[in-house]
Amino acid sequence: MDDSLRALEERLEQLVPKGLSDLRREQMEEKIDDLAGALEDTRSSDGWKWGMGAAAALVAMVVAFWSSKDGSADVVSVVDPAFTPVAFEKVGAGPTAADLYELMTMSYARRVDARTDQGWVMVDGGESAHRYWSYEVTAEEELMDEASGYAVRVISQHEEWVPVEVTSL
Amino acid sequence: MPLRSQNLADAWKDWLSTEGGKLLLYARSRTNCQQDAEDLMQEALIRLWGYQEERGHVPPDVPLAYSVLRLCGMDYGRKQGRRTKKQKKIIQFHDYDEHWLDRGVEEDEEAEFLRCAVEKLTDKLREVITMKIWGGLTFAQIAEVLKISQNTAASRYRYALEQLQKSLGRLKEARNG
Repeated sequence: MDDSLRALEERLEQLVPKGLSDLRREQMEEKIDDLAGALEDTRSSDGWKWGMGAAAALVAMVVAFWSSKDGSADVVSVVDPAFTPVAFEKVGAGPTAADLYELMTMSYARRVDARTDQGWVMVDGGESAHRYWSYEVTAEEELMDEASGYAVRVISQHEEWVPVEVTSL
Repeated sequence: MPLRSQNLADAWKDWLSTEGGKLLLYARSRTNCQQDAEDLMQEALIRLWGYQEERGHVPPDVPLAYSVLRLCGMDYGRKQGRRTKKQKKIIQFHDYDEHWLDRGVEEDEEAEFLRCAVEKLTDKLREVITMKIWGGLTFAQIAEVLKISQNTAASRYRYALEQLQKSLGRLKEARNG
């Protein structure tokens, strides 16, 4: 490129493009604010969806936990408002889901739905007699994932056998 | 507005402040009037925001902005109809004192001639000049935006400069009588 064209280039560079009008600049900046704001709304919505997914995963984890805990046929069921428990009784404390996962236990309760006499059993070589009772237990646990802030209520049902030593017949 | 969104909005406003003028100049070269050019800019801005989603909505680089602006300009051209567009351009060049380049900065007569000469270049030549001189794009980037070869971009640029030089020469001759 010859010198005259280079000089022309330099001359052109000195011409300044006309900018946006003040009014239009304001409008476009408002539009940018709207777009950025909408982005935040979308993120919140995504967070909600993620939270629901996390809650579902949490339930699945807890189901797996209860199922594998003692091999019994535990189930997780939804709360039935019409359900009236037979009795509330603290039968025993096993490991909870919160012990295994990074979850905060909000509340924990167990109720005995039914008790069945399973009969006598002699233990310690026949020197000690025990009477076994089987309990149908429903455990209700409210857990919260601190990271997401979502809470779930897990209800599990299982059977427990409790030996009671008989001191006199 | 949450901090991250606010930061993003601020980044786009800074980007608009820095790049807006040169992009508007290009938009102006594809529209009938300044207002349409600003409409085109706004439309391009919204499209760019969408395109940048996969990049975390950071402000786009200039070649992409030109590409999107060009697409918007093509849509605009289709809507307006080429014949009408040309007619309106001619009317506006003569009837309105509306220029694409700011006349407040340079006061001398030669600058005025040059500005008029740029406005009268053909669309193909003017867009290459606009992208190279005021957009700061390389020939490779211009080629990418316009979907032409680098050689074609460079040839158009050189030809445009020669045209401007001739126009300027003629204007000077006319001025000197």
